[in-house]
Amino acid sequence: MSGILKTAIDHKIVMFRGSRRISSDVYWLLSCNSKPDLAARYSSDPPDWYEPGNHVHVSSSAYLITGEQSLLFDNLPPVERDPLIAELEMILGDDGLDYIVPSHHEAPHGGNTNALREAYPDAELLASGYGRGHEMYFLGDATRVYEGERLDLGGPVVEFVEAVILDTALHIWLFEHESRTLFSVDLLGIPHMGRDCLQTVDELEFEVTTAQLIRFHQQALPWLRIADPDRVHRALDEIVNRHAPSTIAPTHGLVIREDAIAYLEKMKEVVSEMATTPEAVTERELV
Amino acid sequence: MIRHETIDVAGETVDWISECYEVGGKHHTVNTYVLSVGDRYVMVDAGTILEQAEFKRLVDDVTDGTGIDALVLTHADLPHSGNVKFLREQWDFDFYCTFTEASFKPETMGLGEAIQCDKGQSMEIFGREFRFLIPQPRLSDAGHEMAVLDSELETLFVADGLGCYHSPEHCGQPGDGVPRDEHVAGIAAYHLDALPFVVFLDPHKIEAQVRGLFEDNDIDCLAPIHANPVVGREDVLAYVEAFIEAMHVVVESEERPSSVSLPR
Repeated sequence: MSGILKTAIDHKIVMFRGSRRISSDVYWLLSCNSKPDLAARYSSDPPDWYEPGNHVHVSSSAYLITGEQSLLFDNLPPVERDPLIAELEMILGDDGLDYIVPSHHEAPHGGNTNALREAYPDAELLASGYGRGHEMYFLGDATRVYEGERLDLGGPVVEFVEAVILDTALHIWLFEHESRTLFSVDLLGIPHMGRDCLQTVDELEFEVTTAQLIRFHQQALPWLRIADPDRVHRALDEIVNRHAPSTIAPTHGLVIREDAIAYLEKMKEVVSEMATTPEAVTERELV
Repeated sequence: MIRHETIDVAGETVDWISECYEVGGKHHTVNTYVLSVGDRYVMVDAGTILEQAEFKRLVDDVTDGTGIDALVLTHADLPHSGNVKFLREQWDFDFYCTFTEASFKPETMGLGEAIQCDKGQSMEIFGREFRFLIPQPRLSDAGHEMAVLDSELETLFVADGLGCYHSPEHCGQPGDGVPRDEHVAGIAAYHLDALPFVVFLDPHKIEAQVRGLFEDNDIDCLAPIHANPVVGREDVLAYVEAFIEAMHVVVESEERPSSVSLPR
């Protein structure tokens, strides 16, 4: 792992945690938002995945895919502008960045789009062709990309995937064929312990639980509470049928390198439970 | 196009700034509302980045040049917060939102400090109670989104659900009196475009949530950010019925939004 930088803001509440190479062509860059209220709550009543005394983090990730050309998928919240660019410079050196691809416009995903365009003026901005009102999100001049379109980066080959489990309409996922990595954006996010930053799910001491997944999704994708579970299950099956990922790289969770399809199956339990359980927790947490 | 109208809610004037954008022959609206609370001005949501100069001119007009004293944001997305930075440069005001502890908290976005609003709680702003609600139904494209209820005017400000495309001839006109089938079509089309996950939803759950909202609260004016406001309890309830019908249409039809082509 490269060095860890911390932003000066808020005494470590939002922290850039560095980067890690997760395959020959893919780097994982991580920013964490510490949640002291959650840590206090969990310390008194620890869930299965949590050891009392640890920080609780919710993360935002960016993924850099490098071949002869490079592509950055998602780009962290604005507060991480300087460490993000520093990390990219360290990884890319003189090569520069060729493509900037925010999955969607929300701050944790596209917060540094404009800053990156200034830092890398020759990079091409790509954005989902789905949804409307691109101009409202500073994406008016982006090249629109759609399901099935591919980019050969000279080594890795990426394919744009229509987002299924999503919040905003202007939204795109990504699949890298060489590593069979699905970049699932808001799907499969989890809170994690501070000591587990940049650990992959298979490296964790505790198994990722359904409750842990619910904790994230009930905040990030509240519509799952009023979903028809069967409909969502069919959509999850289709993801498996079409892509059969061996790795899943979510924006708000830890990278899943083993049993990726099993985690998509676990999401069915998450969806079923969310759709049948009344809301019981306050929504101030996990913002 | 951006315009300013006023609506009469329980004898009080609410200023309504609307930005209209053409969508396949209909119009999509992005609304900002300004409430006069005593001699202060409270704004709900802050429009898009696309009409800043005219937005400022209209706010100047509405506030007689004094500017706003408070801003309440339903959520951080740009069509709702597009003018916040711009407004900060013009005037000092209290800023209320739900995301003061998020990774994208207002200070880190160049929006200055904000006062945390917690859903399920209420606050007094210049002596008037505002209640911050979990959006019901859960038609939000941002987890931190809230609905805002002005308890005195019994007016519910809501985004992004309950939106509706309108006909060009209805620009700047409240939604009272629009034929039901026109509302049903506009609501369905808007939700398919803006919130494509609606195709995965259970319309009976949506119905239960929205009926609960309007049964549990006295709402005499519905002020969506993405639909023309509806004034009067009877017309509000008629709009709610149109919304319920639209949700059944959306979920049960074979038509799919462009952004979701996977099987339901």
